[in-house]
Order: sequence, then structure tokens, then C-alpha cells
Amino acid sequence: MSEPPITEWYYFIATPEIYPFLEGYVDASRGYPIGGSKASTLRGLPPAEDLRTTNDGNGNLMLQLETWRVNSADFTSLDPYISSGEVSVITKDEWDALLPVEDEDLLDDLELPEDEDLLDPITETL
Amino acid sequence: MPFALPGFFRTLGFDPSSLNPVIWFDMDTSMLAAGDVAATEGDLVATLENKVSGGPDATQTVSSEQAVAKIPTGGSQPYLLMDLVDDEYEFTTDSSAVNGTIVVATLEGTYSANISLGASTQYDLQARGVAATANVGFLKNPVGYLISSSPLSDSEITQMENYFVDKGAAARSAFGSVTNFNSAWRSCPTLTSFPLIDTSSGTNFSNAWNNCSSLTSFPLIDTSSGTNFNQAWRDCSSLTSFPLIDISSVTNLNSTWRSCTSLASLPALSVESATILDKTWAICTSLQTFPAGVFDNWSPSSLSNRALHNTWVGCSSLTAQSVENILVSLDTSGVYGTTSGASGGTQLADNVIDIDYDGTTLSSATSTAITSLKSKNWAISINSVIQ
Repeated sequence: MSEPPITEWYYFIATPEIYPFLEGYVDASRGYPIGGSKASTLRGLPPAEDLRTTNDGNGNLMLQLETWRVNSADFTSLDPYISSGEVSVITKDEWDALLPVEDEDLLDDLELPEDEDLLDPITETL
Repeated sequence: MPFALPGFFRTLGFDPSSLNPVIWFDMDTSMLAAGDVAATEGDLVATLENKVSGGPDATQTVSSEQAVAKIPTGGSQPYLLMDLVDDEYEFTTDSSAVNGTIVVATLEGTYSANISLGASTQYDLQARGVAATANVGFLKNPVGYLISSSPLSDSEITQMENYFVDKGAAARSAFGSVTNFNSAWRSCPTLTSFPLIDTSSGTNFSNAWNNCSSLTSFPLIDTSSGTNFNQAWRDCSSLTSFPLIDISSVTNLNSTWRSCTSLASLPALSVESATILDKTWAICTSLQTFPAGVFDNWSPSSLSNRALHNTWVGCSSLTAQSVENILVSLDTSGVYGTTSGASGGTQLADNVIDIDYDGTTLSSATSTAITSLKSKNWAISINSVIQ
């Protein structure tokens, strides 16, 4: 298993096919769902439809997690999928390069006002 | 010597319930972990329990989007540690709309502003307040929130802010030491007002109020240290007026007031250092009056390639006098359409000054300015026609 980058965040890329496994693994390993009448945790990871997809056309899902949320046992469980390329741990620079092209990036190549519909997504710039 | 009451006495006898809140979260008692247990240090917080009886709680059922309870020892007060990526809590208003005041108290600073919430509507609560996009900015450690059912008076706001300060939040004055306001209140479309806070140390205001689409006015904040106003008030589509802020040090005015579609006029701003004004006032469709002299003292150290690209595009209400004001002032500046802004430099890859206006007859002064600007390496496009 390759050593994960030392950072406050892990940046994961997962194929849509493997993501349900990740969801199931996290829920099982953390004991989710935990019910309550006022406070409950139903799942560990967001549903796939809430995640961004990479801009390289592969349709891979992007998942950013704080390092403390992931332990060594998690990486052990992920190892086969990392080895097969179904899950990747990437650097921040690689993550940024794979973010969907939104907002300002598109604006620089388009003329107004046709690009107005593209203004809604939020990205950090400058 | 003035006698200052210590915090305990300041809030003694003050009960936030007296403000008729619809939402009141105090992190010392509101943080619940899954299973309805009071969160302890390091626990993921699944619910912020409303201290208003019968009021909505704020919940998050996905653990990776739950923030962490911080319950320090040694007398410090509890707070919620939110990441600046995806942590947030959802709440749904009851059958009544709310036009009140929100007080947001964090370890980084406390502010209060008027807010408008729809009836029976779900909202996201993030560190910076009720927001429409994921966590951004620098506010990340909430101590408490309160949303009142009607606007609070100044004295009530002071009482409430002091209440949270006594629970560990930083006072409003803490904003005075903040240099980076990047995205601080971005996409807070429910805010209908913004308070006068100390921004005198702020250099980066990029996206600070982007998409605060219900603000109708804005206070005269201190922007004298500001250099980056990239998209700062973009899509503030309800702003009808804007104060005369100091933009003398600003180098980046990219899309600063873009799509402020209710703005009819501007104060006599003075652009002095800006190197890029790409789309600065683009799609300000109600903007009729652009003042004279805005660029008279323009003296940038250099120019970006799209320095005046689409700066006034989509400004279909601009008058002919405004076009004159713009072009005469640009000409007065003596700035060339070159990368250095000086004569003899390399012409900008995009040297077009883009202006849309109401189509009425342009003045001879405008024609003179156009001729002069063309001799200074600029091209001028008016209503999409190159002059």
C-alpha cells in the first residue's frame, strides 16, 4: 500500500462502482446507523449524488475527508481497491486539477451574457 | 477611570428568551451526539438542540458532515469545530416566515444582521450563519446562534452579543484584526442587512459578500487596506445603493459588483491601483449613472491582459452621460492599453474597453475621448460595436 500523503485532509477518488462498498464499509465499521429521537447518524459518507465528479471524463467520485476521520484499519481494508486503482489517494494539487471546471474558469473563455447560467457554482479563486 | 463590569455581571439577569427567538443554540447545552446523548469532547455532533421550546433543531445525519464538539477543560467554554469543507446542519422553519435578526457568535468574532427566512423552508446552518453553499470563509468555531422572530434593537443586539462573548465567543471588535475576509459571508442570501464591522485590517475581500442576494444596502466599512475585491459583491442583486468606500489600494476589481442588478447609481469611487477590472460592473442592468472622474487618478503598476474586458457589458441602462464619464476619465488617467499601462509597452492581448449603454446619442466629448484612447493602445466597443 502506498503511504497516504501527510496532510490535514485525505483526498480520495473512487469509481462509482466501488463507492457503495466504501459506504457500506464505513457504516459497518462505525456502527451506523445510530438512531435517536433527536440526534441520529444514518450514514458515514454522503450519497454518491452529493459528491463531485472528476473533470477528466471518467466519472470518478471525489471525497475529501479530514485525516482524523480515517484510521490505519481503514487503509488496510481499502488496500485491495487502491492496488486495483478503484480507489486512489491523491494530493491536494491533483485534487484541485480534477475539480469540475466551474465559474471563473469558464468565464474566462466565454462572452457575457451567454455565460450567466454558468455563474452559480462556487469555486475559490484568487 | 471607567468602571467596566465583568462579563458575569454584564449578562446577569439577561435571558435570551426575552428576545423571542425562534432559534437559540448554545454550544454548552445544545450539542447532541447520535443517540440523543450530550456530546462530550471530540464527539461528532449530530444535532444542535434548540433551546426554544418547540423550535426546530438543526441536524446532520451524515457523519462526515458532522462537526466536532470541543469542550475544553480549565474553564473555557464549549464550541463547535466545523471544517471549512462540508460540515453543516439543516433546520426547517415552522409555518411562519421570519423577518428577524441573526446573531452568530464564534471564536473568531461575533456579528448580528437582519435575516429573512421563508415559512416551512429548509436551511443550512454553517459557521458563518445561514448559508446556501458549503462552508467557506474564516468563521469556523461557533459558540452560539440566535435568530429572533423580529428585528432586534441595537441594545438588544449588544446584550445578545455580550451574552455569547461571556460564553467564550470573540467580540465583534475581533474582526478588526482579520486580514483575510475571503468568502467570509459568501452565499448568505437570507441576510437582509449587514452590520458595520471593523474591517480596517482586511486586505483580501475576495468573494466576501458574493451572492448575498437580499442585501439592499451596505455599510461604509473601512476598506483602506483592501487590495483584492475579486467578486466581493457579485450577485448582490438587491443592492440599490452602495457607499463611497476606499478602493485606492485595490489591485483586483474582477467582477466586484457584477450582476448587482438593482444598483442604479454608484458613488464617486476612485480607482487608483487596479490592474484588472474584468467584468467589474458587468450586468448591472439598472445602473444608469456612472459618476465622472472615477479613473482620473488611475495609475496601475501594470495591467492584466483583460484589464477592461467586459467591464460594463450588459449595463443596458447606462446613459450617454455615463459613457462620457467613463471614457473621458479613462482618457484623463493617461493609462495606455499596454501591459505596463505606459506608452511604448506591449499592447494588451485584449485591449478592448467593453461598454453597453441605453443607446441614446453619444456626446462629442465621448467621441474625442474615443479618438484619444485609441491612440493609447485601447480599442473601444460600445454596444458590441468596435469604434
